[in-house]
Amino acid sequence: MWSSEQRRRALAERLYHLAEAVSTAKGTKQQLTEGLSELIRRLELLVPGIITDFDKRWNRIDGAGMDPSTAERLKSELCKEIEDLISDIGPLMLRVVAGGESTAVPVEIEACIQRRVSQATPRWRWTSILYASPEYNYSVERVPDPEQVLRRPSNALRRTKRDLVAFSLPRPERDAVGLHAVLLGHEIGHVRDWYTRVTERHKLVIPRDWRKPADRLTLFLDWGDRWISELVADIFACLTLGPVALLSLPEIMMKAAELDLDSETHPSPARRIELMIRVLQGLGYGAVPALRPILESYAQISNGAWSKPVDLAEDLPESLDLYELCGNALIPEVNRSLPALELQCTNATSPELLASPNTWPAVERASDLLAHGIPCGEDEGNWVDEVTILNAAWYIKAARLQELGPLLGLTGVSTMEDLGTLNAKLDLLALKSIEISESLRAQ
Amino acid sequence: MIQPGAVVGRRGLVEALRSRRLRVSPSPPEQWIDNGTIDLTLGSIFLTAERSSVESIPAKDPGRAGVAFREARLRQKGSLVIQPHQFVLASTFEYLVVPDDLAGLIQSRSTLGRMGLISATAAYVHPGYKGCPTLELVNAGEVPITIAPRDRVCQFIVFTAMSFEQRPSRYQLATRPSVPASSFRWAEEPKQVDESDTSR
Repeated sequence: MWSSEQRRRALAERLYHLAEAVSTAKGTKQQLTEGLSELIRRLELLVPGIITDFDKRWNRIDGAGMDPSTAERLKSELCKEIEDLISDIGPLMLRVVAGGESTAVPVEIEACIQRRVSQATPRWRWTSILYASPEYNYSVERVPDPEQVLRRPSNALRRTKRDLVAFSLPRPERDAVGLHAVLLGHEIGHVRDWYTRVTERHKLVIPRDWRKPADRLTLFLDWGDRWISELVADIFACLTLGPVALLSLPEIMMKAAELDLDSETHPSPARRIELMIRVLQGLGYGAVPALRPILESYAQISNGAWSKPVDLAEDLPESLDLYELCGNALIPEVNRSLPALELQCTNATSPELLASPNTWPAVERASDLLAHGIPCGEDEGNWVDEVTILNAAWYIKAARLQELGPLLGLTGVSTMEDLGTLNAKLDLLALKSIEISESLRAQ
Repeated sequence: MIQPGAVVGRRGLVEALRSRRLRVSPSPPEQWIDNGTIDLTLGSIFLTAERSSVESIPAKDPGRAGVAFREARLRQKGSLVIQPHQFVLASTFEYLVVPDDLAGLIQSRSTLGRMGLISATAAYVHPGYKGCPTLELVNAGEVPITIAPRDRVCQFIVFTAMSFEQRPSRYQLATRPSVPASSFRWAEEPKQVDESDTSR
């Protein structure tokens, strides 16, 4: 068993390394994102704050003249409190600080993401941070405000106005339209869900044989919550972005053979696509002639997905049988919940943020420009919004990609390399369009 | 009627922009358009060459040089210091779409040139070009110069052109500084990714 003195030394070393990471990141100040600059400013206060606070409390115990065993117990409790604090927020902070330099992330859309996060959390107006992950990992996590946590560690669990929200993305995809659609749609959908508490308030019906014992109930409820939260994020993505939200499923491109594969964290892509197509149809996108064949092709791969039994990868940690039973009990309940969830999400989306097929002519105009190799961020001197730009790029990818070939001297686009080149050029044109749009907004 | 080979004056430029025969996006304010020139600004991506990355570049075959470049992507409020005699590749923020009967050159603005910041070679913008031209910036002065995205550093001189034959170019549709892929490498390799994790 370590003495409190040994734990104090280990803590000092850990805090020193955290401070070093912050100081190194600050050294490249000119190349930080806005979000990371803000986090670093707060961490610069936090780390010395923890050290001062710790020393003050440690010295108070020393000076109180207690018997040695009481002093040792209080010091151990103090160490544990700070160890917990560091293990709660330290790893995420380090990941964000290490991967948040502006070169590693799509800094061009940072203002756009911040605006959408503010719209998703109007009373909190959280600060967004983009950071690059070494893995193909797309996620969003709330980062509690370090100052609040310092005041009281239990504040780490409370959502406050000064929280940050960190978006993890794979660095190689930082310029891709698909990634931008994920961030602006699905991931901000999670943020909106935290704010509106759609998942939190949703009560799943628990089948009788999953109500006890407690570990069965926990498995069912935890799994259900995770799936509901992913589906709610998908619904918000469709409601706010329109068809380009479908690009938030990389599996469509990357794991075509595994469209039916469920996991504990995510329903299968096929189930998600079926839901998203339904939401898009509900918004009226099915009536747009140019979209009909594309949406139908998505519908074909997902048709009847919710009536299929669970299909799990075989590397799950516990008994596959139990998981299969749980998944199969969960699927009908989640499926029954979907109309209510759609309705709640629709009610929780401001009309001005709701995607509409009425704007499709603007998307087609923008896609005509992109197909001619011209950015579409400006229309008659006015900015074009990011939703129109992303949908225009998605539409080109889905139906008109070959048109870009002749501009690059590619007459017959047939190889993977040609397709990759065209996709990459289109991604950069769309990103340039967003940059142009943002520069006009800022004027 | 504008004659081939002539510099296009202010009125001609305004007309070409208004009719969208020539596109500069985002549209420049009218005060940035002068007789024969349109002021342009810096994009947000810069490539700086690592000084010690290769022994020398063979002028006969520069494509084999393998010069290491470091990329800097800046947010709008970010900035980059160019040291005396340092060479930096940048691009214009504005995306140009040039019709078949116009061409142009991009050169640094004289005020900055006198401070030492020059566009080392006047970038030729050929008829039919679409993209953000690459700028080869050099600080020829003795004092470091700080540059930032959207700094108004160069101007596009527009000429009329005739009998131009369209040929596809590898620099077409560029939105950031471009170098031939064969002649450079990244100074810092992007980290490897784990392909097994695709969760979103």
